Amino acid sequence: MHSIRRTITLVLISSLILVIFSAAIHGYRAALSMSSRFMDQELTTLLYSVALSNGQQVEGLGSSELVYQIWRDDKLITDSPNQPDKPLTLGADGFSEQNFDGRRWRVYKQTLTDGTTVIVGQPLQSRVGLTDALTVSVIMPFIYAVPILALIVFMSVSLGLKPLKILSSKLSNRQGKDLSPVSLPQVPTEMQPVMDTLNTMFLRLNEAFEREQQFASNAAHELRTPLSVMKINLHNLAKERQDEAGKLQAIQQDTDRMIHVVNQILLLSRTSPEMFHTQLSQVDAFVVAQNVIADLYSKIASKQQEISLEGDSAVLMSTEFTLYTLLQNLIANASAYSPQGAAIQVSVLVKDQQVCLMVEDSGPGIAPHERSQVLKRFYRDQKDEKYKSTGSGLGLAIVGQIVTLHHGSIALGDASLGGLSVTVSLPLEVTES
Amino acid sequence: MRILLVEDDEPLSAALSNSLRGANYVVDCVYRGKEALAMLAAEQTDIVILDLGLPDMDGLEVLRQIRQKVKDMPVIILTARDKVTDKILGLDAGADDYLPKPFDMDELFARLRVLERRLGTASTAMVKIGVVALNTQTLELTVGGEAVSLPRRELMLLKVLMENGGRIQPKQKLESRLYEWGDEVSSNTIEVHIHHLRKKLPENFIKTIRGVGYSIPVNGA
Repeated sequence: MHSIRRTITLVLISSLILVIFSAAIHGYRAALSMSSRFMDQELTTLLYSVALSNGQQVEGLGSSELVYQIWRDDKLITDSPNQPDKPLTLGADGFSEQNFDGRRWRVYKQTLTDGTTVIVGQPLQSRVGLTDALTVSVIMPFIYAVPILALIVFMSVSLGLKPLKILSSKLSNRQGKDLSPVSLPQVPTEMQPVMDTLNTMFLRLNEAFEREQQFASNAAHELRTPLSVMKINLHNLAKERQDEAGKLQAIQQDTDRMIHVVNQILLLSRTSPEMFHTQLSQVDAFVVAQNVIADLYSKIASKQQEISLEGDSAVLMSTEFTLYTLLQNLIANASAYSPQGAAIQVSVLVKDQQVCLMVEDSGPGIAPHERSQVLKRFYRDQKDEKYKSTGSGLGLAIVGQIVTLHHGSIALGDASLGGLSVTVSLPLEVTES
Repeated sequence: MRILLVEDDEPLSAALSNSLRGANYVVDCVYRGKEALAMLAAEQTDIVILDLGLPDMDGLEVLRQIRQKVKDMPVIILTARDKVTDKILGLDAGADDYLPKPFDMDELFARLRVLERRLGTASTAMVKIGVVALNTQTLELTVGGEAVSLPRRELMLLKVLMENGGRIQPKQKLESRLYEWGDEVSSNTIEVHIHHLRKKLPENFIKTIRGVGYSIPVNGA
């Protein structure tokens, strides 16, 4: 992947190295020409001091690094001990380069006014040595500076990119549906437009999300009053027109189904994760179960069904509303799918840091191979259009949503009463996902 | 029986008053909270049916003001809000009963009857379920036409159960009622009272719903 930090660091360090090396090459060249001039001057000085020695051996001269000869009328008058007997150069006066003694020499020849010719020489190698030393002394600080500069470059690039890094970790650590604006302690000017755009986007997304959430809820809510009117008018009509009671009963049932769907849509939006996590508190599932049974009792009693509640106080983190909705759906289902006179048993137990809510019935039950099919309906995709059009599917989706909110589980089994048992296990503590 | 119906939705108000008049209630319809308070001051009213979502003031505020003026005016709340907290708020504010919209007219009539009995008008003071008849004012009990005498607190318990015929009375709720009647409540007080009641009443008259409470079944409930 393309990385800004790596690119900037690499470009800066390689440019630095390039600049340092061209400076080094330039410095080497300058040092070379400077040392040549300097050594040529030395050779000139040497030549004159040899000339002044009047044919005497010059003290301290005649090492392997310096040679001289004095010629007069093609005769060698004096020389340093370590060079050939013929002239070092046959050329004209001035500087030249010659090979002898297996080395290359810089040679300076000058014919004096009295006819004497003086030749001095110095090996080129020693010049290069000097240049090298000079160059190295100039270049070395730069060489040492390269790794230090590289480190500084790396650190400043990292420092510069720090706000970006904080932003990215803030974004990636977000909760799934957190659409609140992002904030940084200090926003660099370059990042301000990015942050502004990002936050505007979050704001609009959040609004759209809330609108969508609110819409179903508001629509369902607004339907309640007209549905009440319809229901009461049908009731009045049924009393006035006893002869048409059969036809009216069908319309009354349809109205009741519509009311049921509207209520379920409201429940689904009220048990959404956003609502749930802001309203968590300690709730006793046993007390909630008592209330649910008391509220559903007239329906259960009208089917001559027997209901009982087992267990004891079971306090967990939840909301009264979600637990009520969960148990209401489970118990109403058990009653609806069991025949007249059936038995329903509700149990509330605390086991392994979990609250187990079990609803058993003596109804026909569900064959084992069909149970997974039923369970799938609990976790049905809530965006599925098909299920939105029917009433019954919503109940299972609501139960599934509540179980998911608690990070709980649901299991179907054989009831001791002979029918189906539905067991919902909810952890005592809720962890936000 | 004169009912003050406070409901801002006109179609609902019309349908509801129609239905109530059909059941021989006298109904005054008002559409605003202020009108309701003015009406209460001017006219004799027995029961108030109050919608919480009123345009001019909050229904709960109307309820509070009614309570200030007429301390024991029976009030049934109707509302499209149905969260448990709304229900608690309503009952805490002094409502006698609470019905979420959309409701069943039969349910509303049943709740009205309970309030009427509490008001003690002669025609409704008698509750009869099967062969058991109880005058909720004098607490005179007859079983199959024969007078039966029982301690007062047991008759109070029976009264609550009979007034709420067909519905469960959770054990805790009965216990808290016993406190109101000035009784010591231990863990099995209710069981003991129920046991005594059963000896004097027909078999299976009081049903136990294990883990929840007690109920007196009514036919067709």
